[in-house]
Amino acid sequence: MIRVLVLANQSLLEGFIVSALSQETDLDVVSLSHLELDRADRYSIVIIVDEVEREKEAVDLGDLIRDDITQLIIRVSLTSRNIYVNESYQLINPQMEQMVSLVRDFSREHLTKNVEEDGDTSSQKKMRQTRQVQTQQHNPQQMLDPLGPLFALKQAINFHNRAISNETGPSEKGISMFFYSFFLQYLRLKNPRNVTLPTWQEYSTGND
Amino acid sequence: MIRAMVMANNSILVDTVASILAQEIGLDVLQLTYREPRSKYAAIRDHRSIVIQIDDGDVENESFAVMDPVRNDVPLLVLKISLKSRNIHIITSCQLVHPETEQVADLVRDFRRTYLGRGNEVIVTGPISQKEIP
Repeated sequence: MIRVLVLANQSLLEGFIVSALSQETDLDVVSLSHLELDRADRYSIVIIVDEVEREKEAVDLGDLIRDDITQLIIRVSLTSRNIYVNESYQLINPQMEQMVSLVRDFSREHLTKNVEEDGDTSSQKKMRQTRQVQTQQHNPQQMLDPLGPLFALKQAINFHNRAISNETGPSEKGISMFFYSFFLQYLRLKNPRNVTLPTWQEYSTGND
Repeated sequence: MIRAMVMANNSILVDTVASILAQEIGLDVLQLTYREPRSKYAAIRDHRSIVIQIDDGDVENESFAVMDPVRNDVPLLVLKISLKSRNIHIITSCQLVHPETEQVADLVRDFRRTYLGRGNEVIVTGPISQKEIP
């Protein structure tokens, strides 16, 4: 069962939300007021109805957010009549391209002026489109290159640091320099304007 | 202009990610490291639309309170990349303007189906700490 918390005072809106969600068989819906909330409890889905006249009772969002679980927090503001949506989840062993896609999709869907002007319908459509794309990307069978460039870069940095600190023997140093130079070449191919290759003398002396 | 903040212990990591983003997406990427004073984060992070945090697991870094910016009402994307577990923890924050009430239930259904469904257990569901690869 998925635990759902509806945090609101008794009202028609609260009743509607609880009623709608209770029809789902795998949702365990709990409705509490701000004063009844036990901050130690953990909920995968939290819906907060934010009432303007109840500001003194307003719950601190930080008490509900959990950094270590997949979580959805929806805050319905009766003041602005907007809904604020916070999602927290994790990708297991993703590709670098997925990170770029996430940033690209988010900036396109939520960081353009048109989103606010379009209103609720288009925003909702965009959110659904984004989720569908992400679901397709989450197929674990397609995860062939998990953050490869970053791990390779980490290895290159380690080689570099060890070489500078003379922790390795002459042969090892030569090997590490080989990988280091190889990776710098790789970076330069990917980002020719942003990577500056050291000269050969800098390689051999270990100076940056 | 869309603005992003990239953070890592090592400046080369920051440069690499920032460079990839700049090339692929064309962002105006601000490059920072953990070495920056914490007060500077506080001044800057509120104005970021995208925050990318790379945790290499080597150094006890100043843990960035990743959820802090989420409490604001601005659209925000936070990516926590763990080089140790090889996972990415994603936090998104956005708003729907003047929606219908039914959309609350729709949001819950969509989230459950996408991230809490049985078919996606291996991919995205928590508890997150147990999903890390040893």
